[in-house]
Amino acid sequence: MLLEKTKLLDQYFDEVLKEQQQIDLLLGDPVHPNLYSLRDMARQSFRSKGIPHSGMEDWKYTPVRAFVEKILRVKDGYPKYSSSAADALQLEKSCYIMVIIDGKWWPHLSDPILTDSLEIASLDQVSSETAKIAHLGAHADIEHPFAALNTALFSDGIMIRVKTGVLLEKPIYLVHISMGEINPMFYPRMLFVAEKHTKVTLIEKFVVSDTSIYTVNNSVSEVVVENGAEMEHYYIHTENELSVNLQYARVILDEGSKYSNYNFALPGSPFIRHDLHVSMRGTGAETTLYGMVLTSKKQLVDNHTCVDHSVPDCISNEHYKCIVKDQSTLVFNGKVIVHPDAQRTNSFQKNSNLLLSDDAVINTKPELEIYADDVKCSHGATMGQFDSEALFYLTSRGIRENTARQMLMEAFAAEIIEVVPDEMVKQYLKNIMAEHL
Amino acid sequence: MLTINNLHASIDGKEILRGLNLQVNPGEVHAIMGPNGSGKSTTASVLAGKPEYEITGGEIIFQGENLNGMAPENRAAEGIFLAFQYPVEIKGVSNINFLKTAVNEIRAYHGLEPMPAKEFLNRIKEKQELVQFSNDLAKRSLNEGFSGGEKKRNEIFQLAMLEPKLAILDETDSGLDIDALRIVAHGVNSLRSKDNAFIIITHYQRLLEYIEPDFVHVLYNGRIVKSGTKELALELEEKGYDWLKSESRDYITA
Ligand SMILES: Nc1ncnc2c1ncn2[C@@H]1O[C@H](COP(=O)(O)OP(=O)(O)OP(=O)(O)O)[C@@H](O)[C@H]1O
Ligand SMILES: [Mg+2]
Repeated sequence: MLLEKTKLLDQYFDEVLKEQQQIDLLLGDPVHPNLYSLRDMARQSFRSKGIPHSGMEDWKYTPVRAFVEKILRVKDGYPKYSSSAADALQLEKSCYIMVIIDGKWWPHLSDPILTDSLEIASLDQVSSETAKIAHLGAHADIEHPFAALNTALFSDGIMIRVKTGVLLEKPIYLVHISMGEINPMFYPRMLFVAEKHTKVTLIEKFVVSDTSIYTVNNSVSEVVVENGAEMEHYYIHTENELSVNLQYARVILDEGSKYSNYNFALPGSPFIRHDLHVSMRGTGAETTLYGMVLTSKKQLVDNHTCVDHSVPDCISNEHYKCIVKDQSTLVFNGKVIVHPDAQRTNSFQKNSNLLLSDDAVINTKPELEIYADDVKCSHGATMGQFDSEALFYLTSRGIRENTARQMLMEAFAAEIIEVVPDEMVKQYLKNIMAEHL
Repeated sequence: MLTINNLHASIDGKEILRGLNLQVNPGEVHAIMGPNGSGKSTTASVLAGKPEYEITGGEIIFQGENLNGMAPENRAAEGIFLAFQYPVEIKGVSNINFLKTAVNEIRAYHGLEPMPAKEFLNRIKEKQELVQFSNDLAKRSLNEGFSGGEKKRNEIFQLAMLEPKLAILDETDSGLDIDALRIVAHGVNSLRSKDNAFIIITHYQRLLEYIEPDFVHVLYNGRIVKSGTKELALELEEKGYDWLKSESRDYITA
């Protein structure tokens, strides 16, 4: 029985891959001149590995198959989500809004974009072929099974390019709505390029609509921050129990660039796996990765980050804080690689966890690989419960235990929320965090 | 107001309080002295309802109600306040927000609406002046990075804000400089009334010069072995505890 189901899923992907291959053959290559061969490699890579299983080191605690398998049942009337979840657009003020439904960009639902500072286009309509050809498929690692699957199957995709020297004041706000209109599994593909000496804020928020069905979002982003450019990049997950997220992003940092990522996952989605891989390719680059994860019920949230320092004089700073409740599972894997040439690297990593239930599980693993000698690196993971002395102190002042616990959770989260530079996003996050704590 | 009858309490299976008796009436100030480890802080924690302690015998009656099993927050709402010997640092919780929550939760317990913001701010200002607690400190995270003396002053600031019926001060004087000691004493004295009471745990006669106690008790080995008036504190300062220890040993063996 189990075997049969397993086979069904593999068969499903086999068919989907074949179908896409035929479409590609028929249509040629509108998106990218080398797409056909790229897809070929991706297909092979995916076929050789298949959907990851617990025997694979990077997926040890993350039983992804069960969550993907559910897409096969969608057509047999998997229940629809009925209550209203239309909180999608709370950030709309003073942002360039882009609406992306099931991975497809809807220009007519989105804001018009200033073309002399910014290009936003679907991949087949990009005006600057140079940037696209240089980067599309060049950075995502197709050894990663889901990066491979996305590469083999994505259809339109979006490119955002901030043109040289432009300092964008308004954030670009991408609302990803998972609906499952055509297919319960879809493959969004993004290419973000901040050209030389630009400044840009990207906010990506993941939501569902009130007609959504069970969906699996298998997305890949390639992010390039060129010389002297600065990017602030937010992920905000507020999906519900029908939305599974498999997200892969590779970030390339050129000389003197800065990239900060703020990754917020709130209770809702049953399964989120994030792979965030930042490569320091130019000297003097800096990256900051902050994460705040709050899990409840039977959720599983897995963040795999990797920072690799291949050139000298770069700085990386990472702090993930997680509050883990109920029967949920949290996985954190933070890899830092300092290659032999990356002298004078500064790299700090911290993972702090608040484990609030006997039935919850945390698997955390920092991995440091250092091959250079003149470096400053540190990492640490902490695991704690509520501090009983602090709880007693608060309750002894007349504060009810529940309120006291909430205050302590907010205090724990505050360290990450307070560093959020964008005031609007900070306020928004404070509000939604308060709702969930 | 408070009657403690033959109280026995233990922690991690170890008995610390062994038959403690104490009677505190409204308007009174009681000082509790005694050697290190004799059970003074334990008494304070048990009164405030620290969950780690187990009451194995006896009872605590506060305003006619048995406190056994009552949650710390309800005791606080009923009017018990403990100024901690070692106040906890809580990063990320602002002092003001903490006090506002405390004030309003206590009001909610009594079926009252939250305190209007303006009234709250006026009160903060007034009490801050009373204990000369700086605005900078009030705005910071709760006790985070406070010096020892600043933490103690914060305890008295909170005491002034919450206006409890029974305040227990656990070694509030240790760590205070001479000026701060006077300020704290002044704060306490101006909060004294015929309706409230104080239990002041201290090692030194000095604080008692500023806050005059009606009674002085010596706690030793988990029980009160001697009670007297403020002259007892002077006698202890002079003679130490040894004479009491031998007396109490006789008492135990007798
Ligand atoms: N968790 C525990 N397990 C065992 N013994 C404990 C525990 N906590 C406290 N004690 C013991 O209880 C006794 C009384 O401690 P308490 O803090 O009440 O003393 P104290 O009179 O306040 O002393 P000091 O003057 O030093 O503040 C001490 O011997 C202490 O070691
Ligand atoms: Mg003590």
